[in-house]
Amino acid sequence: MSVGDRYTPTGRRIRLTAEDTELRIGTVGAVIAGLEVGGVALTEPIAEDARPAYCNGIHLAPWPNRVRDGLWEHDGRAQQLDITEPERRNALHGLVQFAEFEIRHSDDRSAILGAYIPPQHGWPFSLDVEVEYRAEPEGLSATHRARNLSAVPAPYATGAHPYLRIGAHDVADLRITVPAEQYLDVDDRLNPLGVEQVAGTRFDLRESRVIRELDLDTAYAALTPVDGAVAWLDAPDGARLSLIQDADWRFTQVFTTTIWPDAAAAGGLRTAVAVEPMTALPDALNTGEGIAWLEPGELWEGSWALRYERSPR
Amino acid sequence: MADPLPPTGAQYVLANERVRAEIGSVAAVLRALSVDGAEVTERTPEHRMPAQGRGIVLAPWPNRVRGARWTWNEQEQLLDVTDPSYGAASHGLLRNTAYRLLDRDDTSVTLGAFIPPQHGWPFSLHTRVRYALDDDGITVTHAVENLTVGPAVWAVGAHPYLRVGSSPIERLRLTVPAAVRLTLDDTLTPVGTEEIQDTDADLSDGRTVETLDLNHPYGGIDRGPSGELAWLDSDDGSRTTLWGDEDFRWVQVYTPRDHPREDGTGLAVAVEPMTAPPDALHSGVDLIHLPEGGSWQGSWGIRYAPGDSGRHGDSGQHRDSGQHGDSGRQEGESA
Repeated sequence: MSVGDRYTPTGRRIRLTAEDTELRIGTVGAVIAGLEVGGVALTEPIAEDARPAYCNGIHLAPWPNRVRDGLWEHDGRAQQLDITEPERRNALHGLVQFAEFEIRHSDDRSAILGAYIPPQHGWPFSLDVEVEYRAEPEGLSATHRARNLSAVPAPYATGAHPYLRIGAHDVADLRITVPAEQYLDVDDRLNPLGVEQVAGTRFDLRESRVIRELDLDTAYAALTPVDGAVAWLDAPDGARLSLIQDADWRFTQVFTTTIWPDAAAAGGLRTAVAVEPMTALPDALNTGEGIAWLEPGELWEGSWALRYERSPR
Repeated sequence: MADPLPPTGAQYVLANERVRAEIGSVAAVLRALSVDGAEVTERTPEHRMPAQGRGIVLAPWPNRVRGARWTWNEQEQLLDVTDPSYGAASHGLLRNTAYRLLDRDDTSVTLGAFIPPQHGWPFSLHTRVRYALDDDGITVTHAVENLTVGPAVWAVGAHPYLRVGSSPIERLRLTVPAAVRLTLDDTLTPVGTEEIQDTDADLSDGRTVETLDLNHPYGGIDRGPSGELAWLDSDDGSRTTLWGDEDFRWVQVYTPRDHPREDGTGLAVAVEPMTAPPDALHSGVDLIHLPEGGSWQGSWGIRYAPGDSGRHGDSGQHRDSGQHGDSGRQEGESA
């Protein structure tokens, strides 16, 4: 492993390798800054002098996605979180997006990054969170951990926010499959209205759909993984990139955008897709859906991975 | 994984013959400071979070930014709304950050934190705080390095609530030799400046804290030969002084009536040294401009002098308030 000695906008940069794989990490937000297998880029890269676009690659803890109004209730008391998505008036993506994680362990192919989450507005708990990233011959694996340092039970959920690609293919040309029976219907602030069946809706990804035709910012539930994969992208040449997540990571968010900044694209913007493993649904601090309650001192651990299969010859 | 921690993270205790300071990593908080056993700041016990910002460092700006938005290079910057009741962004970006240990010895500790670009903040900065004990108090030195490709702005402050040992806050006399005070609107952000000499707002001759109801920035401070920004006097002549170097041009005076202590809530007085006033990101007043690769350093501190009765301030022992030594001063007289 090599660690850069200067601070980039994503903190210190870490480079991990395994066979043909290179995985680059930034300490701010424990961000995935780049993944290539055999030179094929599998995530949207974050240049050394750049900031992550649209939460690219960040670690989500101690909750993924939104808390409606940043407001939830604990022990009968209203908890007001900082509003970190001011334009929709929500608290978004946890409390460590801009935290500089410390490097607790490192070797050539893996690194463990950790951050302390102190009690703060709307969050009366102490948590220590970690993510271990490993370069794998077929991609990457990640293990998320949380330990409750409070004297009372603390809620926890987690996720990640990789934007996926397959080498030089236009993301709009990729096909995505998500074998899930349900999706979360949301309002115009992206807060939940209710879980619905995908059948007969534009959200149905059980058969592959070309990304160009999709407009999603959608949480999927009732996942039915195939070979451990909850979602996969297929390229026109037959290459496949799959998202694997532990069985108790019950949800996956798919976000498509046509305004991904890319200087090389016509008009400087193009299509990109995030496929986000999550242990809880949006607004879980209010609904309880997917929240793990950790006893004092309890450790939670769970994993996900990206697996690349080259085009068959 | 990490061992269990106090809520403000890793802790550091500094001590010399007379002075003891307790510092926590989260917000580089000064949890406690005592001289000769007299507490000169409101204490945050190790098992608690600092209430009402007690003792925290405010970086890269102190106090509120109106509407949690400002403009840089003609681009609107949307900060996280960390003070939702006023729709403002308050007290900087490191309030929930555990600073890293950079250096320490028995009487000093240096903590550091990286401030990455984030919502509403387009700069990369690295900041350090050094707490170092003096013979009669503490010196706090703030430093910043601009790691942005381009210029950046900076301001810093701190949030000590001052005490003079166990003397009741109500009866302490606060002096701030300031010529101006900023007038505030109902979001507590400045809308004007008033010259306060010889007015009700004038603190330059000392006012009993009980008579004050403030959450206001004071400026135009006549710092005197040793950089005094403000001082608190108790009935027995003991004095806690807040001082600052020439970059600390403002103090916020805040007198909450509901300040939490272990034995209940009550009146407290925060005297907050700042390099810039509230909402400086909008007004530009006293914002420090750092060129690419530039750096800045500035210091403030607290010192204590026991009353000339010869009796040192005590930290909870019974006070014979009617039996002072030779100062000859009656209770209730101003300094």
